[in-house]
Amino acid sequence: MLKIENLNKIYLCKKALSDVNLTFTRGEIVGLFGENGAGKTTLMKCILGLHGYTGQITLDGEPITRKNIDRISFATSEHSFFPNLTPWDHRCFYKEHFPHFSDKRFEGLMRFFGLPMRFKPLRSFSTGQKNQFEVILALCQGADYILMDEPFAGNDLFNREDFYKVLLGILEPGETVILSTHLIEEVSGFIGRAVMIHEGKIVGDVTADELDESGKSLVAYVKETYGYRSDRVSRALDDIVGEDGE
Amino acid sequence: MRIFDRLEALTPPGISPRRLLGMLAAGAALSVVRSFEFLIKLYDALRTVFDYHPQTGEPIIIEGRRMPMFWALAEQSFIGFAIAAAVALAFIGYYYASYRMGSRSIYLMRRLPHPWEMHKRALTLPVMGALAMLLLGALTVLVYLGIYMLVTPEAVLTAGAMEQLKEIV
Amino acid sequence: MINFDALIIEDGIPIYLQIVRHIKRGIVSGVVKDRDELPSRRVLSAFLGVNPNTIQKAYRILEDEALIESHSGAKSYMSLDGARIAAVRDELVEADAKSSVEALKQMGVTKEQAIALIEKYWEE
Repeated sequence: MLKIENLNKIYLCKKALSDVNLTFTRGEIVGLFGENGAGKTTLMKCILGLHGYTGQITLDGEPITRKNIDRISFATSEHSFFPNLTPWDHRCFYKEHFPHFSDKRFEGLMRFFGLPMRFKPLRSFSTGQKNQFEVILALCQGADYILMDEPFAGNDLFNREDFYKVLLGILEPGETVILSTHLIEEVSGFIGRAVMIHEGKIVGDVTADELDESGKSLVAYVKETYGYRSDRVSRALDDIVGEDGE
Repeated sequence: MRIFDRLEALTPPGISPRRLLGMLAAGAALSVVRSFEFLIKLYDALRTVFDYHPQTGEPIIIEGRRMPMFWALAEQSFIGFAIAAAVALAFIGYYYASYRMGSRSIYLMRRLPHPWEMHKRALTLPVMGALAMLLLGALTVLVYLGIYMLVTPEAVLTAGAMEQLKEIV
Repeated sequence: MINFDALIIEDGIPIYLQIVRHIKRGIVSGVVKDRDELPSRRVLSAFLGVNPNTIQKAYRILEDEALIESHSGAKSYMSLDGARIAAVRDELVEADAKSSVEALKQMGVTKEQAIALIEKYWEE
């Protein structure tokens, strides 16, 4: 269980996260939604210890230190691989540092996505391929909690759908995925829980079951949670056309 | 290339140690060449304290002439080693920056279970390289000091200077 | 093995209901037969790109209605007989009729007009 209690993070005099309380259990597939700058990335970086913060983040009751950090992996759209190394080199590096690295899964995913294993350094990959590789590493580290921050920026739809499917096919029941994305519609069937973050606060947290019972679609729920005003567009158009027309 | 592989484990992943090693080799060579200046100065200084017997051509010490002290003679002859050491240390900055070049591998390095991996790969070779440069510099100084003591007659040194030099050695 | 190629997930209806409906339609049309094997939850989850809990939920509903039999950790099979197939058929027919009537009502069609329409198209 990954537990976040009273998490606060101040970033350049601004509250980046305020009073975040969240619990993630094993086997969940969680979507983390929020506009740019809402705090999705900051939240993930706090969990990973890449940012300082106040509050408590624990993994099965223990603070996250070097002892248990290998139970959390991270794929980011900023990319955390080594641009000059080949996939094969990465595999060696990961195997050295993460004892639970899954060779079998790595080879399988590399083959599935048709990525070259040797001779080509990551920097010569296309953006889509880089994203794929970044996510593959996070999936193969042998972590129980897999954090992905906007991992598919720059991949086409078919590519992303393939990924969701493969992910569902390979994930073990104990593996948790926390996926931050703005592709809400696309992942609505894929996730089992949606967490919404707005201006550093958790403003919504709902399971797919609860949504099914309420009869609401995820998109409708998200819009409602954010107080999205559907008349906004027409009113704006009225204003513009009104001024121009007269 | 066993040794080279080992060295690659001491630089940031994907950053070849070749550039640093090349710099060290070139730095060492240039520094040694630069230090030859001392030998030339030593030769010139010796000539100012000696004269040659007009008939036999034997060298004679000119009365009252004094050799400059070793350090005064050396001036900046050994500065190359210090510069090379400083450049080696500058690689620390380059290595740390490399974790943010082309990607953010810093995120991976900072969440590795082994806490020192990131620093090990940024510090080891530059620090060792700098130390090697300084050591080579010290060695060169010692050798030249030996030459200086060998070729300089005690009579042309200021009183007690030779004792001081012997103590250094 | 029951085929899910034809199932295209639509928006607006809970996915687990769509899966249940797909199987029930298969039962009524005769494509899905007694003792047919269902894909494992993980395989169907990956095939459809749908959360495994959702698949589990659909399977549980089918189990509760005694249409499928699963033994813990083993494969799931359809368990159908004449009475069950008839019941599923009645259920689907009723549901479709209900939604058609609702749609017609919404457009202001009267009962008489509706019957006339049905008679007209029945013959075609």
